Amino acid sequence: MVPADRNTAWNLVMDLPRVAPCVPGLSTLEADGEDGYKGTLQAQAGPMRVNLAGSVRITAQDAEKGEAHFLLEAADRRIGGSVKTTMTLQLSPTADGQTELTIATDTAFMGALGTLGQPIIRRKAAATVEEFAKNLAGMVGDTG
Amino acid sequence: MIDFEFHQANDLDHAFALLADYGDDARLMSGGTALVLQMKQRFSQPGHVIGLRRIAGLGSIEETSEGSVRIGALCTQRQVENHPLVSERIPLVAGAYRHVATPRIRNMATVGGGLAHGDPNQDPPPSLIALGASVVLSSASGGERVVPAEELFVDYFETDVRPGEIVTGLVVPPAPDGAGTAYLKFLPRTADDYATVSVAAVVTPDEAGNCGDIRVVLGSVGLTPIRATAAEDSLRGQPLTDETIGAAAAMVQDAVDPLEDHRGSTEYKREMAEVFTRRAVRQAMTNAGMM
Amino acid sequence: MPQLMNLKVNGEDREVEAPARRLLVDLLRYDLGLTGTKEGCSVGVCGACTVLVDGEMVASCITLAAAVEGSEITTIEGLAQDGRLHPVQQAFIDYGGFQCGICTPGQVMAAKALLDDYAQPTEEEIRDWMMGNLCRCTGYYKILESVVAAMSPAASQEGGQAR
Repeated sequence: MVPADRNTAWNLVMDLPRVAPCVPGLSTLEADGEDGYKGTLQAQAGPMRVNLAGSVRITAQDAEKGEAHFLLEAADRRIGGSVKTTMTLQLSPTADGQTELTIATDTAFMGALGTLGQPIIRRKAAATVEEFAKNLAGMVGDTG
Repeated sequence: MIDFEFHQANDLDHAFALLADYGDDARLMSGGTALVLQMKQRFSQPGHVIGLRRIAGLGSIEETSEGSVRIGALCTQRQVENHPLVSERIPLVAGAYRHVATPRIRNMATVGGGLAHGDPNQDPPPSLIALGASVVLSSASGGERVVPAEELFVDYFETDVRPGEIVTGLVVPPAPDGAGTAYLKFLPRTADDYATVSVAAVVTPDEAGNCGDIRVVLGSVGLTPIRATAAEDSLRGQPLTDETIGAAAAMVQDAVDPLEDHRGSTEYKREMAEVFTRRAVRQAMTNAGMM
Repeated sequence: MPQLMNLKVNGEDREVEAPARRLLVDLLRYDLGLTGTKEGCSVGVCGACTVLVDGEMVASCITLAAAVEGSEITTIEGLAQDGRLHPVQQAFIDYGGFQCGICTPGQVMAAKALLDDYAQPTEEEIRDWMMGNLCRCTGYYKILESVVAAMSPAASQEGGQAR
């Protein structure tokens, strides 16, 4: 739940450099063409320290419906594995003038990340998305 | 394996100095059974590996003035399982170490290395936690911190060992007088595998023959070893019957949080956690002469 | 980082220059040409790479050579003395303790380590000890018989002749 109306919330979440600090472990983010960004992210999953370098691209957006689709692709060259995530972000107005934020992700892990430790990586990824949503709600709250 | 620099520490001070020099880029190695595998799989890619094997004074097993057993961090796991003091004072621990992999691995793997590794699938931690053991962590200039084994494991392969600290010892008190202990390891695949579920139980009868105190700790069913506190609370002070034990074991299903792997699904492990808790409590009662 | 490593292998002092990541099994096989030691699973499970480090059996495929610098290493090549096979080796021949042979050096080294530690292990102790030495031909009964026979070398000789 985000304490702001949908337009305010929409303008914020679609401004990726602004929401970047909400992503746990994200260390760099720079523009890469239209609707795209390049970035690096560090995460720890058990004994594994993962350094992902990759891109995020907005593949579709509809301000009317408050819905946006993202494609995230990143790889860790040292470990030899990669991640591909499609993320759907949905903002729905609620009766009391706030906005409900829903994030759905579909992630495929490839290479070493895929063959080894899938369940734990999935769990860590889910925790990361949850923390992102919480941070985002916090940021919108501060802005609104 | 990515190449690295290897440093053999001559003594603890040397090891602390090396840790200070290389910090985050260094990993400590004693037996190496876990770290070498992680490096082979590229899960761990340190620039520096600090060998601890040559450090003197961390390889003995002694009785403390309080009657506990103090095990040096560089004792191999085989030394522990075979030591008369361990078999006599803390047979639960001797048995738990005997369940680890194969004799060859136990010849190499050390007590301290196993603790610092923080793998929730290991055999010894549930028994160590059930007995209330503590882990001695040393740091430069004689610093020492003693952490209950129960608090050492904070997340998946993550422990409370802080930067600059080295595990130097393990202190295990014997089970209370009259208590029965048990460690059950469910191994549906091969004898040298990690457990699908493991359970350590310590049951102490009171004068009326009811449950005076109980500890139940599970391994392989979560991101850390898990103490079944709700199940313990439901049994403390109660008579131990099929009904009370069954109800307590059922509570364990909510306490565990197993990861799915080739040893079983989350649901299967959850169910086996209940089954093996029931059996471990019964085994501990038998060993206490309660049934 | 290449470094100089000094090891005593089968009683001989050896100096090898190798990177820190060099595994003991690779140092033995490639740097020293002692190819008797085999590598099977590469993860410390199968026992094919068993050697003795200061008398204790280890899995050389997960042992860094640098970590055991200065130690005494015994491999399968070091067992025979003056042209005579070690009693464990002789027993494996006499009792057919091998088929394809890939696991045999590891089996023999593990059995030697067992008999060095326990003069008269029970059959259960032998099984427990040898648990970590896998035989892909599944010739476990013959291996067990060989180890039992190796306990008393004289009996092994007789048994061999009787067959």
